[in-house]
Amino acid sequence: MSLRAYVITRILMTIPMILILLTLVFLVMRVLPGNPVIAIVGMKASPQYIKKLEHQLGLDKPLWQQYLDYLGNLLRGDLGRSMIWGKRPVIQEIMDHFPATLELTIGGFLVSVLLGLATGMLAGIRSGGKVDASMRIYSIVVYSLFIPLLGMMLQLVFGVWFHMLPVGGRIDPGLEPPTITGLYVLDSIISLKMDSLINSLAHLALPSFTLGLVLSGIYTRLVRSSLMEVLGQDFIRACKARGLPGRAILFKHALKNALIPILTMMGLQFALLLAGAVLTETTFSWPGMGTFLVERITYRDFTTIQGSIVFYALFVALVSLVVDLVYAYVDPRIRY
Amino acid sequence: MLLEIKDLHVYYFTKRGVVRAVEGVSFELDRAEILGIVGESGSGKSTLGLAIMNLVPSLGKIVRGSIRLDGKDLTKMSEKELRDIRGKEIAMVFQDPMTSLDPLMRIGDQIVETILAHEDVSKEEAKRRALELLEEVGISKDRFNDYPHQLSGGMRQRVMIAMAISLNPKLIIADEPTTALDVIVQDQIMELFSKLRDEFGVAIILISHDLALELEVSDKIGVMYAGWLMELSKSEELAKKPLNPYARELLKAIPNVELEKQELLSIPGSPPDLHDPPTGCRFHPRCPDAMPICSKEEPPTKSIDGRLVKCWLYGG
Repeated sequence: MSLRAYVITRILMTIPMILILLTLVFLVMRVLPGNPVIAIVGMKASPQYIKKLEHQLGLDKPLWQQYLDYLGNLLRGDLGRSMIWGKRPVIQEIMDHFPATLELTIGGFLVSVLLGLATGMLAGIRSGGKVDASMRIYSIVVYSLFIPLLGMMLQLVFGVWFHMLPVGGRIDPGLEPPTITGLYVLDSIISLKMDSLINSLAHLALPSFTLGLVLSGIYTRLVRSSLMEVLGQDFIRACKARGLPGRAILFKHALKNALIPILTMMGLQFALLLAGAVLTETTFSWPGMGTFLVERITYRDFTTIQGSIVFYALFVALVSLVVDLVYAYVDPRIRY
Repeated sequence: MLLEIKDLHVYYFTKRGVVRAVEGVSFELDRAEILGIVGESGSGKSTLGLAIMNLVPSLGKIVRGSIRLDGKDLTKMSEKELRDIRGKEIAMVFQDPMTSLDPLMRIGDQIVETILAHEDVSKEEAKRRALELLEEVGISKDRFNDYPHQLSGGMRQRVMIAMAISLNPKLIIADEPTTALDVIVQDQIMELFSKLRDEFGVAIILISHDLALELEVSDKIGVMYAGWLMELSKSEELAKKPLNPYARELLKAIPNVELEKQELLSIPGSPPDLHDPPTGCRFHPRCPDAMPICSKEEPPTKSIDGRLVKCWLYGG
């Protein structure tokens, strides 16, 4: 199968996958205990008022009707309205917070991959030696670090003692670039605002490093074992026998082959990071999805929670699609 | 004289002790000559092949002896000098064509890469030559952009051979090049080797456990047992009258379809553990001609009518 045919098939396969996801979210939200109407108006509301509200929200319709409404609204990008404060559209609430999380996730992801690759390669090339042993200890130590503790230590050193980096927030007030993508770093570059760029990068530095360092340990292990396995394969010896320079063998042949199993891990990690950056966000007062969702859960803002779950599900489906496409691009054997 | 190996010793230093994989091997090879190396698994024949390229696996080491290619000793060269020799002067074809190519790179690009690593030519020129090479080994040009998994085993081995001859090496070491392939493909590959020798004057060391195959294509044959070179003779001479008892037993063990008797002959016993080889001659526990001295002292290598034989039968 050609690469093009594979890409088309894979994209088409995403459609039923997303449909199943959405159905699951719908069913789970109906099965959950707790009446959302009572959550809005409180226990003391009159039965008539509850009836009226249920009708407004469409909750008195049959389940299949509700399901179709739900899918129809989703197609129009309508995730409903928040149940508390201002009753803003959920999609707007998400867009206020999601870019911050995405920016932090990308930052942490890059740090973890770069650190993990470097340490894993060092360990894999000289397996069995002192460097290898130190890298293996590194991976265990960083993996067992507690994010808030590490974050606060970094804040203390770089923020309080040396005054080098800001300890919280995304950017200094007044420096926000015009909103294009919502990612401050990207927006600053697009609108050519150097001071915004430097300021947002400085804010991003500590949280990204905190998140990235902890997660890099997994990559260290994975890259190490994968690289060792590839280096022991016949074609590497064949490359040596052809007199290729060691650097070319390592980067062009060994590393590329070693990265294939790690690619899957990267996709999974990225999705996990999106959802799991709560600790980092809290530590660094990062105005992202984590803090936002925790707050809404305490207030039983059902529509916002459901909307966020749907949003995340779609985003993760998109990420796994991208991973699979990259996979097929790198590994010709995958294009089944 | 193209290749001259003298008193080569290759040991593996494992946790269990020293494995004497190749001990005291000496031979010479001329241009356009095919030398077959036969032996059972673990006889040191593959190690010998890798040692010539100075590519023995990490635990192994060339502890003694010299390997001279055109008079230059390969054992004394730096890694950088060796890299220029590998692929350019000596090329290698491996046993398993399924795993000897990078699965993520187009076969054409792998040939181009090899040419560019050694010669200062443009990419276009290298590609032109790669296409010619594919044709030379019998693969159609439009396979250039194929990935290894799209080719059959035989075709992959042809690609390996195309790569091996891409820089006109003086010597090709083929380590069990057809073991993983079926008999028909095996014949085609062997023909290809003979053609290369005839057309380009390349010398070939053909490592195999298949004595019948060696007798067919090789000019001379070295018989290895437990790290020793037991006999080195011209193929016809070896077939007619083997000197070393091990070579003789090996010849007898070749299955012959024309023979009346269907019984498969084998040499009783199994090759020794090279951590702790037998004293004296390493073959003596399995040798039908063993004498008292065989278990006590290592036999010397004698030269008889231009043949080499390591056995007490021919005196001390």
